[in-house]
Amino acid sequence: MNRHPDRNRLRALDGVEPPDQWDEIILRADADLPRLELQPVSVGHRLLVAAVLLVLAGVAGVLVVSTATGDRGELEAVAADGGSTPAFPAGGGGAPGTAATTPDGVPVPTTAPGGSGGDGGASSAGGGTRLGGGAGSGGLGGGATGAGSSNASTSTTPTSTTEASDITTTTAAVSPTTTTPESVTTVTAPTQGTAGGEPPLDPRPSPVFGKRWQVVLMAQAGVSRPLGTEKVLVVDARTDGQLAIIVCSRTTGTANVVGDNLVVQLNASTGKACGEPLDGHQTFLTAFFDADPSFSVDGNRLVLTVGNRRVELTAY
Amino acid sequence: MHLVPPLGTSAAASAWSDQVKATYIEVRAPLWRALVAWSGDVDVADEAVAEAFAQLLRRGADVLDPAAWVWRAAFRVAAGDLQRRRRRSRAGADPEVLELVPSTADRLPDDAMDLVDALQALTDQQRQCIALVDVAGHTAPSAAEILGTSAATVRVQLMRARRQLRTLLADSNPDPGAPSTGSEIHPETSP
Repeated sequence: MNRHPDRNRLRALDGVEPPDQWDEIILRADADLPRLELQPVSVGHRLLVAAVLLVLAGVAGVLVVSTATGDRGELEAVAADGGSTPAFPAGGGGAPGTAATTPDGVPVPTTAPGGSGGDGGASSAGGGTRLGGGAGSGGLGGGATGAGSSNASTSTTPTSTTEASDITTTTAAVSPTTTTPESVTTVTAPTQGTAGGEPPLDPRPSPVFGKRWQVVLMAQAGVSRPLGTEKVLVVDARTDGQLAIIVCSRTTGTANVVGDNLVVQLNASTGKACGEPLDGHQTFLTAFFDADPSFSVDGNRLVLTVGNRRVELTAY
Repeated sequence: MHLVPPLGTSAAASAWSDQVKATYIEVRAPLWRALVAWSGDVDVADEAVAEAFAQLLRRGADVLDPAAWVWRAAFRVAAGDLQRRRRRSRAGADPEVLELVPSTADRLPDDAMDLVDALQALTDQQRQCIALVDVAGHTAPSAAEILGTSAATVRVQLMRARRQLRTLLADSNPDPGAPSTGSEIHPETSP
């Protein structure tokens, strides 16, 4: 008995011609709208260079201030504070490298280099991931400094991943070095790797993402784990910041590049049981990725390691 | 007005635009039909096709396989659009505004509308599989790639969907002997 419906009925839409929308597509593409996903690598590199310049300018600014005031003790105290107490001399301007807030406290991430200008500067020795990415050079009043400001450009490019709800504000009273005290609000992202000297989230598009990877080797203590199946074990990282381990079940979660590690938070699985060896592979890979493996990418080859465990994958 | 990097030069932008245009010509009809079949709404399909290709244009040549990319993107855009429309619908849209928008029934012939109506009785996943394989002409592995699932899953969903559709479409056709307009049209080649 034929269980299929009449194929002609399924082809009923073949007689319908879609509208020609090419002109509209051109208009939409030319509109300067934010891109939804990855930024091109070249932009990331430019932002990184800008961030490094910002750090150098900040260091120079602080040195100028410390020389001018002769108060090295206070400067060292600020540097030892771990960045939790930004210190800028007041100078009529806002804090470059920070995001401003509206009078009612709503954070408004700045997008243009230079922040709100003026000759104020920001200092943050401990390294928080900054949103806003001001690039003020500090000038006479001081400048931005600290490891954290290397990420200062994270949010200068519009992306859909940063939302107001993901942002916390920190208001710190500023100890004056040259003039009057001033309260400055900074905006920091509450993401992992931003406190206590941990490496910050890498703002550059990582070569890990944008691809689907096929597992070609799983090894523990130098002994490779036999695949024992013709099924392709897949790690789907086509979407930036997301990861799916597809063996038998599909286990999904978020993934971020932090330094040389892939910080993975798996949060959902289809929970399908398929028997061995697939279930074993699924368990191995899930535990492996949960342990935040370090990674290296060489062309189409991705090598991940955690302790004595190693997984090699190729892009396909 | 300009395209964003990495297009870089106008020559590169022009070459990319030509490539996207060629993809558009090749893909837009099966893509649009699949989206109509899946969403049941021509406006959603119009919007998803336009937005997916606009994003493809703006993305630049870092997309290695434009056709595959645009299929995935269009379905994601359509899914988001459908969600928004359903939320608005639940919130109670202005009926006067709705009357101004030509409905799907106004833009589709009867037999196509029968198919779209019948598809609404299927699950979302079944509808996606039918839309991609039976309407747009994809193979099961190709549909699986777009949906981010396995070819086996697609085949299973297809089997269940076709079984249901057979009944649904038989019920919706009062004159089974009447020739179907779809039979006169050659199916699209697999994208």
